Amino acid sequence: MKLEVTINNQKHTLDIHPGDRLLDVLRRDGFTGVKEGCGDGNCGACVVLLNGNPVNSCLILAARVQHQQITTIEGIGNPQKPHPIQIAFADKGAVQCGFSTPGSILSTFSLLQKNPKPTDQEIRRALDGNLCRCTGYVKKIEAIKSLLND
Amino acid sequence: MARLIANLERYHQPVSLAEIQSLFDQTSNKIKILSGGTSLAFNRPDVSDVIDISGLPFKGCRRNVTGDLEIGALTTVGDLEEMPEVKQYANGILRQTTDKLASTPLRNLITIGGNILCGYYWADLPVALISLDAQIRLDNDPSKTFYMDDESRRGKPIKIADQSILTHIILPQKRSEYRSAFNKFARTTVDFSIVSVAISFVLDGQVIQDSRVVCGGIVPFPQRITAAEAVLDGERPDAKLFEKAGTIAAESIQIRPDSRAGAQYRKTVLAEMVKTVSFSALKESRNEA
Repeated sequence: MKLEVTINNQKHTLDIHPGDRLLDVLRRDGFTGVKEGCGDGNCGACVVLLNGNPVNSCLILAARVQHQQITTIEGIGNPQKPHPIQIAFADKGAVQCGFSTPGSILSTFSLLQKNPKPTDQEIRRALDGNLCRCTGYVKKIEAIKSLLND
Repeated sequence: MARLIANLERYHQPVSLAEIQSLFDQTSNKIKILSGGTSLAFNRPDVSDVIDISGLPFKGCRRNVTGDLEIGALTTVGDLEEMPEVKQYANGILRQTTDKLASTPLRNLITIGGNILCGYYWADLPVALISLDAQIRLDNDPSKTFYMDDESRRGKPIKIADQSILTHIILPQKRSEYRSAFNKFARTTVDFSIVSVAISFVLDGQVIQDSRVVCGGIVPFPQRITAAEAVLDGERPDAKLFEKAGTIAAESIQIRPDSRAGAQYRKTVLAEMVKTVSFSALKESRNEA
């Protein structure tokens, strides 16, 4: 079937199988910043924004996002022009292996879009679906708080 | 590359109940109704057709003419917790529940209707909803409105007719000012409940009346513990009473063990939680403040 979807503000028409996961369709189309971790919605490595809200792309059938808006980490920034959130994560040592980082950045992006001055508790809650097994969480929270002071 | 549904042939996205009925009439194939869809990875259903109902207009909430709160069954948990009406209803018990339900990315997918109909014994929203005497409405038809709690099927998952769609959850105006609270006990904040408890009651003078004590995570589907309610009703609230309600609750429920905790452990936790959640309901009341 044909999937018409807007990815990072650009319209795409993709050939998909109705049973395909959104995660696989995005990676197949070159958006490899979307990572597969657990594959069952627990780790958050596959998080993308669906109409601005973080969701687990490993749990979603790609067919479901027909005519909707997807944002991946590639739509937030890149090595030549990183987003301030990405710079803050790097500066504060919030990135080690980097595998879970795209999901965490997207969750942070969504949070700050809706709530530019979140409390510590709101930051922790916004990241509750993004597991990180090497950096931990303290550095990420410090990175996000550093953005609030600017 | 893993497919969520290997043999899926057709994906339908109807925007009206009439369109869904037409799809039911046209096909004899195996069909899966999908709202939030977060259970697909667990269940991997072997179907040829999916009917994605997320495009139906049953989202958001409104007060009806009798003052009851009608919530669209396709409202996501993420949207539910932001609704001012929901935050205010019965001490904000539903906000207390969503605060402890899954993770942010999952809350943006899980729907209130799906959390009810998937029938998982660890589901948290049904615990709170049953404590509020919530009703469910099928097919947007007022004549098809039923209480979630029904003595004849208490403790069993709610089943609806194959070709029906859960469209609304209705919270009675009567309980909107009741003293209510929810809590869950789990390994982490986002993990499945080992035990969850919701309690709702009104104080008539200094005496508890019309109480609901509901547990989840320990029985096949969240259910009222009427023996504990009988302990509370007609009595003045104090520590001794709440402890007795907890003890009776633990004694009166057949608890199922699972990989997360044994039955005796859950029984001990349930008794303590009935006590502490009763206190929370009493203290968190806006009237009390």
